[in-house]
Order: sequence, then structure tokens, then C-alpha cells
Amino acid sequence: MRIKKAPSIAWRKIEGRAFVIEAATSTLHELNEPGTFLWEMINKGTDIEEMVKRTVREYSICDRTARKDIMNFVDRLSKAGMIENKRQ
Amino acid sequence: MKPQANLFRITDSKYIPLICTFELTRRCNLRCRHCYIDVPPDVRSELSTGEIKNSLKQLSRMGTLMLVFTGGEIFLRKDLLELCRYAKKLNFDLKLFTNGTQISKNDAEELSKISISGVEISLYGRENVHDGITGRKGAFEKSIRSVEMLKKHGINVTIKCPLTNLNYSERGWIRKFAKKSGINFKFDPTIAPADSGNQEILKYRMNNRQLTNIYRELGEKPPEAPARRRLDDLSCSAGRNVISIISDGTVYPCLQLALPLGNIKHQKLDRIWSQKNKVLAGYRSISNKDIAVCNSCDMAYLCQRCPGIAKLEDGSLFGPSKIACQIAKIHKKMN
Repeated sequence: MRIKKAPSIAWRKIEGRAFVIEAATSTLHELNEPGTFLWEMINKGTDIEEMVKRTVREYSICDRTARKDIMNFVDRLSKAGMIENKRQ
Repeated sequence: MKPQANLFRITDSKYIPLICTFELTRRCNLRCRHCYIDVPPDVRSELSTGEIKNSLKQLSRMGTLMLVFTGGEIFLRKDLLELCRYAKKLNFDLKLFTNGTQISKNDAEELSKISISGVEISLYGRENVHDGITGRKGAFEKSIRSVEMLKKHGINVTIKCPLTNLNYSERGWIRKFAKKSGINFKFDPTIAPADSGNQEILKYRMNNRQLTNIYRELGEKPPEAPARRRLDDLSCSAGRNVISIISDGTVYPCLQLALPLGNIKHQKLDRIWSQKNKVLAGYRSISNKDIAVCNSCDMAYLCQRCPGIAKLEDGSLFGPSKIACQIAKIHKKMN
């Protein structure tokens, strides 16, 4: 599965954290450090399998935990209308 | 700390230009009586498409997130949609300020696809008043049509209404129109002197009674006032996390503060914005003690002084601003 940032989303990485604005509601979100790590990969169009691999490496956690955390994160972004999911 | 407060705190302390007002042109098809642009625009000095794109790229690298395209009338630029597309590609939160008379159906469709954050359209009241202020018969009809067209395409529209003594009595109609159309509205009672320093347009400022009524109606907080950084600090965000670029490439700390810091045609933006820029560093170093009269004023805690307007009113960055004093007095009476 490949995830893509919704076109209306505006964002910038400032001092190590991603600040993301939903245009429709003008809501500003501040992502923490792991959230920013994942968000940057989403913005580059990285697929889920690759995101899992890189997260395992970055945070020295097992594949299962990384996958679960990523899917939770993706689910929250999706509910907030911040991403578009694309099945491959 | 809430994300907004944290973002403002970080960018203010690190001098990251979070908010940029980019004036794309000074050309305009209307002749609004209260307009602060009173010098005929020199089209030859306008930035090219390439120069604007290059500046946007630099701004995105420097951390700018909120971007406003303003004019003049921005839809007079043939490359506007191209610039909007480019800005969104760079992940800016993009808003457009326009008089709404030049927006075509195709423009509305394209803007919807580009997913801009919103469009603010200037509207001064009903047809006779609006056309009278803008100096163009038919302007009202075109602006209203644009409001409806943009709304139909799912674009956030806000009616922006500078309030003067010419349209003071139109505020009720504006409110009702916005409510009926399901859009936001903003009143701005602060008419600034013209860029040239000409004070002639100040005759359109509302009188004390009118201003008092406006603030009573709007509640206690002054609308659209320049953001005070802290209650104990008289300075604003200009030159810290607010930047402006005008149509010939000159960089200002804020669109309202005509303090030339450099020009993007000849210099890199990060150099212009650096503490090594003596003009900018000097401006950033201004503290309460430099604004002596205001610092000792017992209404300072209520004051929304804009240094740019203060400078335009009497030539000094350090003095009080007449309109800010007037509004602070009104708020003191109301409290």
C-alpha cells in the first residue's frame, strides 16, 4: 500500500518537527519526532513495507511493533483527511 | 502548549519567516478611495514568473508555511494560476487576497483543483456604496459573482471589509450577506496612510462614535490587529516570523512596514533575512524602552500599536500611532 499526502495539506518541518495544516478547516497539527519521521516518508510516497523497514532500523524495534504503530498513525491521518491511501 | 502557540514561539525566537505576504503586482483595475497604494505602478519593475518561483523556493527552505498572494489585483497577472500551483507543490498554506472582479469560471475550477486554503474578497457594502468606493460601476456585481462561483467550487471564501466613514452603515448588510452565503467576514477599521506618506485618505477613518459602536458590536477584542508578541512587549511579529515581498522584489519586515531590507532580484533571501543585515538587526533590537511614550502609557496593555502605521502617520517608528491610541481609549472605556 502506498500512501499519499492529501493535496490540500500544507506542511513544514521546523526545528525537527512537522507542522501540518488542513486547509479545509485551517487546523494546525504538530507531529512529534517519530510522527515527523513517518510523515516525511509519506510525503515522499514511500510504501508501507519500506516505512516498516526504515522504522525498525531507526528505532530498533521489532517488525510487528513498527507495523502496528505505523498503521495506527496512518489510520489517524486518514480519519483526519490528511492522506489518501492507494492500494497497489 | 497548543501547536499554534508553539509554532509562533519557535519561529519568533529563531527568526523563521513563518508568514509571508507576497505582493505580486501593484496594478489594479479598481480605484478604491482608501487604498494605501497611491504611486502609479511601474510594470517594468514587477518580478517575473521565474523570480517569484525562485523566491518561493527560498521561502520554503527558510520555513515559511503560511503564504498570502496579494496586490494590487493579483488576477491581473497572467501567471497567477501557475504561481499558485507551484506554491502548493512546495507545500505552502496558500491564501489569495483579491477584489474578485477578474476571476473567471476556469480560474475557480483550477483553484479548486489546486486546493488553496482560501480566498479573501474585498467588499464594501451594497452596490451603490461598493461601486462608489471602488470607482468602478459593475464592480459589485462581479465581486458577488466571484463569491458565489468560488463557493460553488468548494473554496473557502471570506469577505474582507475595510470599514470607513463611507461604508460604516453597510456593516449590517455585510454581516447578513455573509451569513446568508455561509461565508466568513472580517471588518478592518484601521485605515492606514498611503505608502507615499500622503495622509489624505485618513479623512475616511471613522469617528470616535462609529469606532466605539464597531468594537461594541464585535466584542472586546480588536479585529485584525497586529499581533503583539507578548503583553509586556510593544513590538509585533514583523521582521521576526513575518516577512513581506513587494511587487518589485523589495523585502519588508511586513507589508505595512515599509522598511526596505534588500531586494530579491539582487540578493539571496536568507542573506536579506540574516542578523548580518544591519537594517533588520537594528529593527529587531527595538525594545519597549525605545518606544518611550507608549511604554509609560497606562493603556499600553490594551494597545495594538502597529509600528508601520506609526511610521506612516508621523515618520517615526518609535512614536505612538494615533489610530492605536484612539482604539485603546475606546477599549479602556469599554472595560
